Amino acid sequence: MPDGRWQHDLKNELGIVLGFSQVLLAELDADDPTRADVAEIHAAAQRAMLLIRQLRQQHDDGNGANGAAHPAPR
Amino acid sequence: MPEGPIRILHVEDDPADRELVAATLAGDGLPVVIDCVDTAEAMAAALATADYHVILADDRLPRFDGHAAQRLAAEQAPLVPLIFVSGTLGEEVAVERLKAGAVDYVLKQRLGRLPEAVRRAIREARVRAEHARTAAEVLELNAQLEQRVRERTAQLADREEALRASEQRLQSILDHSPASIYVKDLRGHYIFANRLFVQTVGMEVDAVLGRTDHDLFPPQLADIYCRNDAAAVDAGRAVHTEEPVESPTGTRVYASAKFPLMNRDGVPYALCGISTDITERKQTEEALITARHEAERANRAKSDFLSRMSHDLRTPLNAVLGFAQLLAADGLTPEQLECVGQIQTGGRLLLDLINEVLDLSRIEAGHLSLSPEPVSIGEIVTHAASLVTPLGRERNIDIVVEASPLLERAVRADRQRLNQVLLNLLSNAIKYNRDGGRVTMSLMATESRLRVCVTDTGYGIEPDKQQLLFRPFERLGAETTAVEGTGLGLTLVRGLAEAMGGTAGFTSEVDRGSTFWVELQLCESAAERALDAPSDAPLRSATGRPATVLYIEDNLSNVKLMQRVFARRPALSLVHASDGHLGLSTARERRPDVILLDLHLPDMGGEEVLRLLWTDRDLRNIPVVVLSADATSSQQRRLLTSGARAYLTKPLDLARVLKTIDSVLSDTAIEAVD
Repeated sequence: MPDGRWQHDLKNELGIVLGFSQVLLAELDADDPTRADVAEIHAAAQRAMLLIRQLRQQHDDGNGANGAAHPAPR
Repeated sequence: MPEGPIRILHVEDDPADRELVAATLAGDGLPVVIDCVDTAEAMAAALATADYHVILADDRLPRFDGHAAQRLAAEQAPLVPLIFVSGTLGEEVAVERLKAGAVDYVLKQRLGRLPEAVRRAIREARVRAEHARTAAEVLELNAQLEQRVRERTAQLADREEALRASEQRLQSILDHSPASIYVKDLRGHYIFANRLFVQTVGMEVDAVLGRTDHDLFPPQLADIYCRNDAAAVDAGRAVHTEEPVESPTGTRVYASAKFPLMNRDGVPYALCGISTDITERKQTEEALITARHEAERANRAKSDFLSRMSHDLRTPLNAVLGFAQLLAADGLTPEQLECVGQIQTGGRLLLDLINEVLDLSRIEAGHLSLSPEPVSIGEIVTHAASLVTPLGRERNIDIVVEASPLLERAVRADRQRLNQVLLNLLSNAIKYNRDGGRVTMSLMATESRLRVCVTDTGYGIEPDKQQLLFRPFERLGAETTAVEGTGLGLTLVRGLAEAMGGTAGFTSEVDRGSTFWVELQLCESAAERALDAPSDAPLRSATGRPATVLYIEDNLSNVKLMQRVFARRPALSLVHASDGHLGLSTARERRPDVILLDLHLPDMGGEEVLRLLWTDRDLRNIPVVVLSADATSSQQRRLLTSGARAYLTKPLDLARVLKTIDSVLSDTAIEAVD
């Protein structure tokens, strides 16, 4: 299995989630009750993106799989 | 006397004397036949043509004399006795003739003595002949004996030569052997050592012979060798062992075969050893073992890494999908709903991706945990078809399960994994089909195996691209189209099929479509099992009896999501505890109606919380619903048998969470729901 390829794919998909949540945030009124939910989605997608960056970093530093330390704070 | 007449050659010129002699002999009763000659030529001719018993010879003849006759007789008939019959033979001549070989002489004046002289001469000739024959036989025997001695000597020489050649050959073989070969007597003295052995010891062969291991090697090594020797002699057969040997470059390892040499009675008289230097081989073996351990460790590390990553990514994905699900149930504009739809699609794809990456890594590392059981093929095929039917409907694609008696049969498989395989094949068959096309599921069986075929009416795969099909991330150009996918589906299908003891493959025709199949082992009947499809009805309904739900979870995003879900059910009140200990104390305090338990808590594992709840008499009866990112069926079974009422996998389907809570509250016994 090509290392790194799936991380690239993950980022692509997360980009889509981030993008659409931003679109929604821009469209919804400031007092819209659903805005909080969209903000949660946006924040979660950002956390996932950060996690993937950290994993990528670990992969590049220690050939990924060997540096099997916990990749991110919980 | 000879049988038949006595043949006599009479050398005499006088006819009167001839008659007188014949008459005298006949007169005495001797049966004689007499040939008379009077010249040397006639005598020679007579001796050459006939055998005579006696020769009678006159000493003085006109053309011949006794001496010449005697010489002629000695030459031509040496064994025939010759008697001189003469009137004039003087004493001196007579002695001379007797010395020259005549057996007797008879004076003509005293012929009366002749018959007796003839008889005696014949007797003596016979004795002489007997002696001669005996002597000849002795000589013959002697000659034969000598011949045999000569032959035997030659044989022995040959054998000695052969033995020498054999010894040389053996020595040559032993000296060129890549092993050290040696023989010791039972007291440990070397009695043979080949070239390599003496080279290894670094001595001349003469210096080695007669010495013991303690003379040649360091004491601790000599002790080892002696112990191994004794073991071979005691065992009475070959003993194989590894022995260390000191060398200038360090300690080397030898593989030694040691065996006793036995005499004819089977009693050991010496010990032979054959020792081969296996240092390099050992080093290679050790390097290989280290490399294998290293590879296994790396594989484990990779698998662990991916497992952690999968778990860690599930938490934010859980939030993305959960909140998106809530949004979809709210009153948004169609445009906004489309955005939410995109977010849900992206989230699901992300989830597929991490699940598939994790599964592939487990398959590669051989760590995929499977729970094989008999699975009803009809049930799983129709279930999978029903799950993808809405997907097909969006593009007017019919999903058809071909009728077949094989639908009654069962295969040996992990139910969840087989479902995953079929869904993968079906979703591909829809994704890569034409609008208004058809997907057909059909079954074929051999004696022991069953093949599930998924046939589409798509564009087919060009022959030169077919070999790329099962490669991870290979999408054959679909990545540039609107068709979604991770590029791992078929790799995973094949990996899962093989992990379940089956195979996967395909046939394809450009412009006509493709058939992908998975083949598994047939087995006896499968237990019936209800599979239900998710529905978001519970999210929309606001009914239900009042109840308290304790949620033990450390991730605040998940808690927030759950709070939002529960906000839709005013009858349910959610109580939160952020770790195991807090969860247990809250449970004692509030006595909730249901506990939702996350398995990954900061202070203790969810399984431990479950055990502690179970051991507390007051808390034992509170139903527990486990929430976990670990979707393996073995884990589900373990927790369900440890007392969990239900098991839900993350990312959570919120509708299912509520449905499960409703079921538990209405005291409906439910099995694992996934």
